[in-house]
Formats: sequence, structure tokens, C-alpha cells
Amino acid sequence: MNFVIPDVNLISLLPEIILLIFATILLFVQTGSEKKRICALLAFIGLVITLVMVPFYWGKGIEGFGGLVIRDNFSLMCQTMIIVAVLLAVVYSYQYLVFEDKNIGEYYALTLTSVMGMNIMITGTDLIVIFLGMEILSISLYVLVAFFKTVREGMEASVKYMLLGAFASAIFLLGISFFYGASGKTALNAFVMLDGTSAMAMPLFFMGLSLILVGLGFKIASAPFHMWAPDAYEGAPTSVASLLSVAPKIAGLAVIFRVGIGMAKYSPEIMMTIIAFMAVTSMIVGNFAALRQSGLVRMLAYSGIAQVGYMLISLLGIREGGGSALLFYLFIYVLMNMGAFGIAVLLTKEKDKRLLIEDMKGLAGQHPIIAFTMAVFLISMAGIPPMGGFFAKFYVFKHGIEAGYLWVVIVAIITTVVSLYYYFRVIIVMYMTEEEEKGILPKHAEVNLFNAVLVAVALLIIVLGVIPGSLLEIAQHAVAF
Amino acid sequence: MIEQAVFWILGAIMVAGALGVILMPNTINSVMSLLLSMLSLAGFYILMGAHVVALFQIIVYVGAVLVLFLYVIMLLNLKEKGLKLPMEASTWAIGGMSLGLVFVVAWLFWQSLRETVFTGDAGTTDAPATIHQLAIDLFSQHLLIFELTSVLLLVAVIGAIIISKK
Repeated sequence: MNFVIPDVNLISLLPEIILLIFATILLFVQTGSEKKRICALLAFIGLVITLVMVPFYWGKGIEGFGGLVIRDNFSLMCQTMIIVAVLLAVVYSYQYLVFEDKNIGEYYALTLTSVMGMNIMITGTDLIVIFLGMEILSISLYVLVAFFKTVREGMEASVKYMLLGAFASAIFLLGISFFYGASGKTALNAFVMLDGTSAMAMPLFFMGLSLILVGLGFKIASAPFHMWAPDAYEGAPTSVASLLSVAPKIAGLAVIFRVGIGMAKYSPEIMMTIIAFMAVTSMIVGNFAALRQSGLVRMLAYSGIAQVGYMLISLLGIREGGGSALLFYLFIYVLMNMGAFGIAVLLTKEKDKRLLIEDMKGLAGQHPIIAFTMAVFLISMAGIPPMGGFFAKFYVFKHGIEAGYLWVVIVAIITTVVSLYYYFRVIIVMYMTEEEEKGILPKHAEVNLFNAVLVAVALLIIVLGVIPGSLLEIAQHAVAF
Repeated sequence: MIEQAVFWILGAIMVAGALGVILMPNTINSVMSLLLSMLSLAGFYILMGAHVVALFQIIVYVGAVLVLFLYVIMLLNLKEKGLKLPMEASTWAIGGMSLGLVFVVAWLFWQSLRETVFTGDAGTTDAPATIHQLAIDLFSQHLLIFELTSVLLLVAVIGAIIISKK
């Protein structure tokens, strides 16, 4: 056997290489007083460079490493969303990390490596590559959750997250080995060779697929694999929780989409049953558990579980182009969830203990702009018309019905009505309660970068709610294979 | 014939080792039983013709993982003998359920292995997996995977330093 160098094509992984270079540079930043600013700036520049590269890759479908990675439009769209989310998280971190921490370079370095892991996940076409991306992502996040060890809950949350995460990774890996046993390959397009056979004739294959979906279900925090999410979000620094609640979900759903596209060619019913089950349980568990929460971050965690349920509905219609609805929903979800967590970061900063919904009393009187942006995010999550969240839910439900899963959509609509209660409770606390003597924020919070970012995100949600056409068109291009 | 005999002997040793891990009262003895189990697993790999895997099994598990286990146990310095499970109703119930689950999974494996028609070229490599071939595969076909593993290790090292740093 001769040594054949594969078609490496480093261009296909250039964004990841740049992220890794910036992460390495961040490890060596040593300047004293200005360190915090320089680190945040370096991370920001690294992310912006990778974001700027996206249009140059668009429509090219560059493959690399003998087909192990492919940078098609779908992965580019996911990459854009992930980087937007992480850019916001970097801004939040800059706001959140008020005290000087000498490990701040490592904080941003791990943020960048987690982005790199997610990018590998969404570009990978081979299950081993996807697994390694998932591990790079997970290990970065385990450490970030426990980054400030002074907070005891942080360590506890991290250990919980790590133990369950390692368990899920092992299940995913077991799924890969079954898949390999059944098809003789680890590439996702190995499905194509099985054309015409029913999944029931391939129990090994079916088992592998189920285990892979379980592993991914954990990473996207969908019920019944969601138990870690509320504790991890609450124990983590709020700026990390914002990242944790959005970015891994994009990567996990992208992988499920890729698996689903491969499956769609022959007998997807079994996979659809699993996804429908995960969607329905996520919607029910997420929405009903969110009703009882008194902490804002915990409530957002359960609402995130419910949102994943809605996103999974779009995957039921994967053969009818449900992927575009998924991308649209994800984009809106990135904006509204990062926005709501941004408010949580802003409010947590002033208090050292956990943030309760009650604490937001009279916020509208003192800080009308912040209260207004929060209201926009929450109304969008509830899916009420002028906001982007409405169209996101609308497209998802439409694809669900077209795929013949009417009962799932009915459950979704009922749980949406339930969700109105807890989203509006926050708005009522902000607007309808009496202004207290001393608010949660200092009276004269100056107009700074942070507030400007929040307003921009809120405006974007409203704009996408009024004219959703162009984003949807891009999403449809992205899933047209 | 001789292969059959070796198979059953190794299997018996392996099961005995596995039982020893959970039944031995002393933790050091448990680790030693695990060693026995791992070694007989390496023997299985040799029976299947996967010599390289057997080698890795010995180097990685016996050479590294078990040494780490021993190290941790000695660091913890467990003095009291006989860390026993509480023999309550719940213990028995959970044990019974786990055993049932194991049988169900074993049955599922048996069924699926019997019915599966291998479509791909799994397990039909023409040449025995030698280290030479493994190296060539690793640095040509799986080059990206190799590189990503190194990134993963880098991230893990950074994380370990951050977590353990005062």
C-alpha cells in the first residue's frame, strides 16, 4: 500500500485555522492593565475575520481532506449564526467581567476553540470528524462553565454538565460504532448505498441511528435529555450561559439535519418518530416547567428547551424543504435568546446572587429602553406577530403540517399558548408593578456599547418580523442541495 | 478446535475478572481484577487477528489507564477495608433491573447480528491490519482526524490547567 496524500485543500478549513491561531495568540497575551480590553478585542477581531470570509465561500461548496469536510451553503449559514451569537457573547463577557481576572486570555481562547469545534461539527461529513468537533466544543464549554471557581455553583454546574456530557458523548460514539458495523463506513453519505432497504431490515443501523440522535439530543438540550440545562445555565457565568444556550444547539441541529438529509433518501420514518417524540416532550416539559420558575435564567433555560422542540418540528418536514424553516427559526432564536440573556447579564452584574424575575420590578420606569428591548425579545419568543418569532413559528408549523404531522403541530400550538403566561409575566413585572425606591440598576446608566447592541438586536428582530422574505430566501438557497 | 478452547478459557477468565472488580472488598484487588479482564480482552483481539488492537489494548489500558487507577487509589489512601454496598431492597431492585437490561441488550445484539446483511466492505480487509498500514491510513485518509485530535488535547490541557490553577 502506497502513501497517497489526500486532497487536503486547506482553504476548506481556513476559518477554523484562523480561529485556532487567534486562540493561541490569546494564551500569550501578557500586558497588565490593558489585558482585559486587548483580549476582548483580539477575540472580536478573530470572529469578525471568520464572519467576513463567509460571502467568499458562498455557493462554492468547497470540499477538503478527501471529502471529510464540506463548506456548503448550509454550513456557511450555520457558521454565520454561530459567529453572530459568539460575537454577542464576547460583548456580554466584556460587560460581565468587571473585575480583573488574570486568566482572561484563556477565557477568550476557550471561547474561540468552542467556535472552532462547532464549525467542525457543521462542516464535517464524517461522523468521527463530527464527534471530534463536538468534543472540542464540549470540553471548552465545561471549562468555561466553571471558569470563576470562586462561585461554588459554577463548579457544581460544570461537574454536572461534564458527567452527563461525557455520558452523552459515549452514547454518540457507541452509535457511530453501530453505524460503522452496519455500513462499513463512518461517512454520513454511506446512507446512499443502502438505497431501497428499509431501516427495519438493518437493526444495527437503526440502533446506531437512535444512539446518535440521543447523543445529539443531549447537546441541543431537548427533552428527555435536558436535565443538565437549567443547572448548568444558572451556575455558569451569565455571559457563558448565553453562549451555552444558543451556539451548541445550532451545531447539534445542523448535524441532525445532515443525518436527516442522508436518511431522507430511503426510509426516514423511524428517525421521524424519534424526532417527533423529542419535539413533543421538549415542548411540553419546557413550557410547563418554565411556568414554575422564579429565576430569570432558569426560566430562559426551560424556554430554550421548549424552543428546541419547535425547531425539531421543522426537521419532520425535511424532505419538503423543512431545513429552510429550521435555519430561519435558528436565526431568530439566536437574536432573541442572546438578547434576553444580554439583559440577564446586565442585571446580574449588579447583584451577586441569582437573578429573580421579581427583581425586575419597575424596570420600565427607570430604564425604558432596556425594558422595551426585553419586551421585544420576550414577545418574539412567544411568537406574536410584529416580531420575527411569529414568522419563525409560522414556517415551522407550516412545514410540520405539510409533512403530515398535524398532531405535533397541535401540541405545539397549545404549548405556545401556555408559554404566553410566563413570557408575559416578566413583561407585567417590568411594566405594571410600582416603581421601587431603589431599582436594580443605578439610576443613570449611560448610553454605552452594550445598550446599543441590545437595541440593534431588538430592531433586527422587528425588521425580520416585518420583512422576513429575504432571510427566508437565503435559507432556502442554503438547503437546496 | 484449539481456538475454541482458547476462546472459552479467555472468556471465563474475563468474566471472572469482571466479577472480581465489583466483588473484591479491597480496591487494589479490584483494579488487579480489572487488569486480568483487560488482558483477556487483548487475547480476544489476537484471536480475531487484530494484533495491533491487542497491542494498543495492552499499552493503553494496562499500561496507562490502570496505572492511573492505582495511582489515584494510592493517593486517596483508602484505609478502611470492605467498602460494601448497602444490601437494601432498592439495591436488589436496581441490580435486578440492570441485569434484565443487560439480557435485553444482549438479545438485541444477537438478533441484529444474525439478521444483518453486511452491505459495505466492513470486516473484509484483504490484508491484516499491520502498524505500517495503520500509519499510512492515519496520515493520509484520516489526516484531519489526527490533527483534530491534537487540537482536542490542546483544549483539554488548557482546561485542566485553568481548573487546577489556584
